[in-house]
Amino acid sequence: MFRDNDKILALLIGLVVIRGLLYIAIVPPWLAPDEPAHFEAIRLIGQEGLQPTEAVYLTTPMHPDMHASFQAFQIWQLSRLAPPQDPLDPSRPVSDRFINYYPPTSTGSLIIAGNYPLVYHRLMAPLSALMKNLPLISQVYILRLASLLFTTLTVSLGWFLTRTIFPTRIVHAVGMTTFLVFLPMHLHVDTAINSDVLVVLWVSLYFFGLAKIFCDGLSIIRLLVTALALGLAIMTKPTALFIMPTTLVALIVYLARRFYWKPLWLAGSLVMIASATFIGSILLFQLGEGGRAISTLELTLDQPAPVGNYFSPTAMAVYLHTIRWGFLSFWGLFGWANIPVLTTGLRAVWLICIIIGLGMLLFIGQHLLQFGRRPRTLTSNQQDILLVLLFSLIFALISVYTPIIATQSVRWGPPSRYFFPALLPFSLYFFLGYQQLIPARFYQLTLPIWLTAFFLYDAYALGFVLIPYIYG
Amino acid sequence: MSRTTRYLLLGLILLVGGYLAYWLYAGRLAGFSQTYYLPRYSTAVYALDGNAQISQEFEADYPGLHRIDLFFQHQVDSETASIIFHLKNSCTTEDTLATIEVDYKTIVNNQPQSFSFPPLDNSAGHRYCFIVTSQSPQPPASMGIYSSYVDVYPAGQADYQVNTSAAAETETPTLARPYHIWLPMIQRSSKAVETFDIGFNLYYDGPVETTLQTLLAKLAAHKPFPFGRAGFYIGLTVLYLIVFGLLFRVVSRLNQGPKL
Repeated sequence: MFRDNDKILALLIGLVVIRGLLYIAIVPPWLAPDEPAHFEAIRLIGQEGLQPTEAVYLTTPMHPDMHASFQAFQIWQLSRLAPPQDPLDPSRPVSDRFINYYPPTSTGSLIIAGNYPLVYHRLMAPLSALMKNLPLISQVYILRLASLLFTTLTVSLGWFLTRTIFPTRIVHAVGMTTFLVFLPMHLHVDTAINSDVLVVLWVSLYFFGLAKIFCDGLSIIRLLVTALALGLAIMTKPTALFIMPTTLVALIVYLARRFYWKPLWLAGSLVMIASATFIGSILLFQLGEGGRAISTLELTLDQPAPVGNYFSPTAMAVYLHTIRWGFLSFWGLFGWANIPVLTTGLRAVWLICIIIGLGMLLFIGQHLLQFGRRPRTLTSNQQDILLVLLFSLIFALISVYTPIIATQSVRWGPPSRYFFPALLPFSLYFFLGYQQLIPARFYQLTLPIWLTAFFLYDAYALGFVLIPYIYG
Repeated sequence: MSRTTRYLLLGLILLVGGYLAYWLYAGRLAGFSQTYYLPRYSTAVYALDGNAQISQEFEADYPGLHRIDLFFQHQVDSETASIIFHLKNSCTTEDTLATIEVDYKTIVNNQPQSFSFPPLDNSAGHRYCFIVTSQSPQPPASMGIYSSYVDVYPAGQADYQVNTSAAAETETPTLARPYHIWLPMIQRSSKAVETFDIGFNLYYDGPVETTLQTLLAKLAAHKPFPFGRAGFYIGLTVLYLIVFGLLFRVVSRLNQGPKL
């Protein structure tokens, strides 16, 4: 007979596959964030044997069926944009060059070699080459299925990460993995053709490697896997850069435990790293091209861009706007960021998240830092890895929001998918915070309530927002 | 789980199941709507004055078409003037499915103006036409209607007939300035001006069964196997509910241990 562990893991993997297929099926081709741009870059590498440079975009026609498929799925109409079609013959595009067709109308960006790391696109290119003779739409769906495979691996890593940290408490693994399986935006973004899905997988592998090192001991294999995941993640997308300071924190925490540092020394070191990361990240965006320069290893320093007062009312308005937008896009802003799930209930979700955030603080204070609690509820290994994960969350927030502070511009968004590489630590802490709020008397209901809430929220997103918007 | 809880749960499942069965066979499904009014599309305002009229052909996708929203702009107001809306099976037929009159004074600039009528239960896949005119015993009175300059709605097109009454001045489409700057990609040409569409939204309130059938057909349209089969969506949904139910059952019985 299967144990609970295997049974639940099998069901969760089954659920992520089924739900992934649902999202792939419901969201029409091209309607996921930047999906046309990523597809075209993969196609150029895989099927045309060309590097996606600006010159290539200017001289190479896009796939001949692209405009027809945009029209068939009413993508421009769904995106509330004027179709870039020939005024005399709507069945023809305004231009057969992708660079003149998609970015000018959608404000979507192109994937250009040199400006953008191409790990994901090169990895997908052989698959694209294999399907060259298939219809365009079939190619899109096969690439999306590859994304679903990556997402399933991410969810599995999330399970094993939590089982490594809490080997005797299956409840945490179920709670954390459920979050990954049911968060609508996670399924929407990470089952599409997008480099986000691969970077989330690499970062998840990195966190799993760290957890293994901290909880089960250091070994060459674990170190190599973690280092490899770190390198691949950074090369895949700049949104993974937050794991660089996370690695430094992991090293400091490991050394502090090994050499019995005083808590004050450790705390001081961590605060210094966090401060340096914050200031360094702002400078990176003021003096250069931001994290993209590090990922592509093409770092050039410019004159600092002039910015106004960081605390002026205008700057505050920009920060508030981006926080609000980031929150909305985390809980549901589908399509080309134009299909919001929460038009009326946003305040209720804010309230719930703030309460769970208080629960997270409670967990950190009581269990991680052990304020006023004897005996200890966590082992040293658990404390260490949870501390590292907590700092990774702080660094992820820094990396997402410092571009906005540095430039005082909303052009960086930030869409929540930039935060998705930190989804594993976030979902674990979110569940731990939620769990703190359940009275001990009703503790047995922790998971059923959690599961039901996510199921209902996702059903609402699919049944009352996405499907009526796209197919209504 | 105690016996009482089990019976309560069973009763709840029966109640929900019974309601769903009733809803599926006898209920109606509102909430589906199609938006063809987009600020970036609706850049022209066509004047409805004198005997000027504008019509738009369209195809309803779902059963139960019961409301159409149009968007107006006040031009020359009059206390007694009104907008007349006719819904027909085609723009050339004499027979009218619905006629609705709305006073100028109830119309708000650039806000959806609803024209509601009894649901047309077999509207799915049918072509219709609505014709809008202005009526005023005391001219001059004029109301503008938002439209596009280009063909943005592929399943039908609009037709504008200018006011030919003696006192009228020839009106040409005027720009709604707030939205004009959002159309950098559209090149005007003589043919493009002829093919245009009114900004409109359609609302449905049809029988559940036929609405779901239409939805499944739309979900599957243009997609490759197996995503192009309606049965795939039903099968996947059923599988999803079964696996979720199994997970819920296992998790409910899980011994979660002491609280951390």
